[in-house]
Amino acid sequence: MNTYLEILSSSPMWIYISALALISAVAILISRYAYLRKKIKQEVAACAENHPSMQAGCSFSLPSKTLSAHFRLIKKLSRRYGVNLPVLMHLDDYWIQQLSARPRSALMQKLLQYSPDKALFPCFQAALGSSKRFEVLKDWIDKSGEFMVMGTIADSCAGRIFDGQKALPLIEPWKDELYEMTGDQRWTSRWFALRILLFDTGERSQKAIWAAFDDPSLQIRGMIAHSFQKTDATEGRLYEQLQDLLLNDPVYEVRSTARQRIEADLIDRYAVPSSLSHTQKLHLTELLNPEIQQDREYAFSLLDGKDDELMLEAARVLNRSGSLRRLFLQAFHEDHPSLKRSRHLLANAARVHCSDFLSALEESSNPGTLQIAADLLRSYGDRTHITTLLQRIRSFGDEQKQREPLRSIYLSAMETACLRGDDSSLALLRDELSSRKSDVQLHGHILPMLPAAHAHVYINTLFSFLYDSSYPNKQTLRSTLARLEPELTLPTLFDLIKSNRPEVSASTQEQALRLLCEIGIPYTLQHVLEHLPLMEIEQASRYAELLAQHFGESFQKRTIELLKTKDARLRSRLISALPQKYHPALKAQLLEAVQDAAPEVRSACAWTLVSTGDEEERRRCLPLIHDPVESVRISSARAFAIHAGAEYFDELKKVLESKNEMVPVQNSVIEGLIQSPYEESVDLLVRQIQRGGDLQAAALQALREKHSHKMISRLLEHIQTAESETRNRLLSAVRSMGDSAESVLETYLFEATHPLRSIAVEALESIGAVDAQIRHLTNRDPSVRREAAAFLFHAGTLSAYRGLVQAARDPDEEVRAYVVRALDALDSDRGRTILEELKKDPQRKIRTYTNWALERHQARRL
Amino acid sequence: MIPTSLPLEQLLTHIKPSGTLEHWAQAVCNITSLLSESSLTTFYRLPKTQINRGKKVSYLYLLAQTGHTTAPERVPSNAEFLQAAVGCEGAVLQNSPGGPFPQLLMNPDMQSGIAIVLSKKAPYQGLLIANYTAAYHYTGRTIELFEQIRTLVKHSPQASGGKK
Repeated sequence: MNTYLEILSSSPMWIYISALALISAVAILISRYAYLRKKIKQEVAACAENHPSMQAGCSFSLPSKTLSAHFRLIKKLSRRYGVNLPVLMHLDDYWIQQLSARPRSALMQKLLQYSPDKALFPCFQAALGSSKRFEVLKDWIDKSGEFMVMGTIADSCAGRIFDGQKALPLIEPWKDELYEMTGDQRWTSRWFALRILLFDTGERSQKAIWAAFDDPSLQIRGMIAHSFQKTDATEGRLYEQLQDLLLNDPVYEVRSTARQRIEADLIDRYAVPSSLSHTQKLHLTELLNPEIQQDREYAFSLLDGKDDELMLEAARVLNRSGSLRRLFLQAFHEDHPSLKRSRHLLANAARVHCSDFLSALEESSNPGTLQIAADLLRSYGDRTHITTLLQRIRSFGDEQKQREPLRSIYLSAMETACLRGDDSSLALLRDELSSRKSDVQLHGHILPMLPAAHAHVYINTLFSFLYDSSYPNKQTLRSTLARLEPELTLPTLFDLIKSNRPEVSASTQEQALRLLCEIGIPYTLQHVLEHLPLMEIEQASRYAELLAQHFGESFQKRTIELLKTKDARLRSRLISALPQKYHPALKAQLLEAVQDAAPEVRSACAWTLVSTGDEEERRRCLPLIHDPVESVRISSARAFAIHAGAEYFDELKKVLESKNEMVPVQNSVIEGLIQSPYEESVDLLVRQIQRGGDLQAAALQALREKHSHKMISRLLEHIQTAESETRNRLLSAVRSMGDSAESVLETYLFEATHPLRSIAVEALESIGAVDAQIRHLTNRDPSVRREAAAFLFHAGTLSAYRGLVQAARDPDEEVRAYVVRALDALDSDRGRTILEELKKDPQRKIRTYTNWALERHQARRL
Repeated sequence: MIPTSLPLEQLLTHIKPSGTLEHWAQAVCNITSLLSESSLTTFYRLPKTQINRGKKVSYLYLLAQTGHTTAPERVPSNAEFLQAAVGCEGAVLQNSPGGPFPQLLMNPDMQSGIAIVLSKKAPYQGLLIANYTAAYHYTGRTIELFEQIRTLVKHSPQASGGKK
């Protein structure tokens, strides 16, 4: 005893601790084991007391792993209570998981014993991996007495994937059953059988496989398309079957599988069929592969078509592949046919709402891209891209904005912003307009397009243009402002008209008033009439007419009231601007105003009554030509020169030839005569040229501006009879008239007997028209050469013929005919002089051509 | 356009390029003489230098002749009628001794003459001249004939062995 005690006392302390721990652990394990067994027994007993139909809902608190560890106990309890405890405890699910992770024969046996329906397929899959496990399955099959073993496995399989190739040798004894299953009504049976027979090369199996391409089940068609075992011999037929599925199968998954199989194994045979129905095209298009060039080309051909449905699919494919984006980014603006085609294709894509490619604007400043974007964004695509577009075109250099081809892109983008832009793009547009105020064409083009709905964005900028007296597009600006909501414009306009601030110039006030007239709101009438003096007289007349049209009776009533007021400036302007239809009603007031003390009122009366009044009124105004005040004389003389008939020209002649009259008054007569519609005005001007003196230059300048046929004819009459110096002066006036005189003179050219013909020809020669026509003889357009030949023939002068004989070898028959007629003319008395001149021409070429043409011409007449 | 009223077949038979240049030129002279009823018809070969550069004087040498009167052995390439014929690309006429191109009359007995240049682009190139002893012999019909010959020669296929 002592020895034991000594041994114990001499042992180290840790041994005691370890021993104690071990004993404790064992005690814990034993107590846990006992607890678990007790717990299982209690829960099983509780479950067993339920009605059998309620047992499926029994719950067990212990995890499947723990329960599985006590399988012996569970097995024993199952027998005791006569219930399938492993199934009730869901141990079968746990075992199936274990089986798939680590296949074991023992597990298979347990599963097949307790849960064969659920576990048959997992066991079948586990059996495929080992002959020993397959034996387990086979034993179970043998013992089960199943009539259709494969059918039962197929039901358990339910279309799940398994390795048919491994299964084929194992199920050899049941192969006939498989053949029968290929005709089973349940797709799962057919699927199971075909999955195995796919790997069988037997004729019977192959027939079943080929027939499966037309199987009613989409799963089977898809499986066959995916897993058919291709050989060299079957490749062609397989491709046909797959193509048939791709084009005609109504199920997308099947078509997609067929397409993937073609791409994986039969890409060399792949070709887009030339003739397809609409549905087939649609099926093909939705699965086009943008990585394949043939598919991209086909998609582009569909995008170029007219069918929106196909276009949508094609656009989606090309969008996915980035082809549309590349097309958009690579557009070349100088190659018009290519640009046109790119725009057409991209517009088609955008039309079916595939416009993602427009986001590439963020990274491109290519002019072709910008051009296409400007065109497309007018109708399609995200409006925010318009802002990007505006940013791009704003970054152009000043010179680029002015010159083609970027100029048209620049304008086009601005138009797009007007048509479809949001506030942010319109703000950019506003800033651009503001920074390029001197670009007349830009403002003239864009201002009328500004959207009224977004006026709040740019209204202040438009008013800043109105304040700017140097702004060139005032008329366009007014019409733009006039179509905006009056709430936005009227307050500012009233402020401007009534303003005394020095920073508001008279021209700004005038523009504001004109704008107010153009807006045409009745309750602005009094404001406008009272402020008419802000306008120049011509403008006031125009706007008074406009007001009269808008407001009729109110206008007349207000005008009569204002004519009774004291202010001379207002009265004179009202008289000047008064529309003619109100003259009879206001005749008394107007005649009275001829005697008005204020010169400006008298001037206005002279202008109004002479321009629109009757003979009596004009006579009443005649003394104003000699009014003591110069400004009145100027105004009335000018009015008589423009509007009064020839019977008043004697009076004007007196003014022009009076030594006592002031030159400004005389010049106003001459300026008026420019606008006179009477031919006698030419006589009066020519007389001033003949007289010489201070007015000669002004009269000559006035003649240059009288371009009409009637006036030029009158002038030619004077040229015909004038002495040399005057004639030269008058010819110089004709010369300076340019093209308008030339067209009038040409009319005389073709009238052989017209008395003015010769002088017209002389004038034409002097203005270089003959030389121009000789140059036209070398034009490549025969019609131009014909016209030139006709002109030169009718001109009939030496210089004309010099040119014409050179056209003797012209390939055009009509041109040569004119040469022949000219040569005939040379043979006459009239042309002999010219002929001699031509024969002696200093240019050898002219001489040679004349001789050559003449000899030939004479020979032909023999 | 070649008028069909003229003896096209007859012309084509004779001016079809074959044999040597001398043989062909003689055939052309014969048929031209026959159809234009000329007293003297000659064919001058174009020089290698450009004929329309007056300063560079060279000559066209007589290659074939139909008619017994004399014809100059050579014609200067800056002769005015030749310049006109080249420049105008048509037939040049001198229908009387007082006409504009006296050099076109090959001897003093001749009163009227006509000439045409067979184009540089033709298989055979040269100057064809016809003369007659009376004035005003040549008419519009003769002009058409000469210009027809020019067109036919210009569009004849290249002969195998007779070029220049």
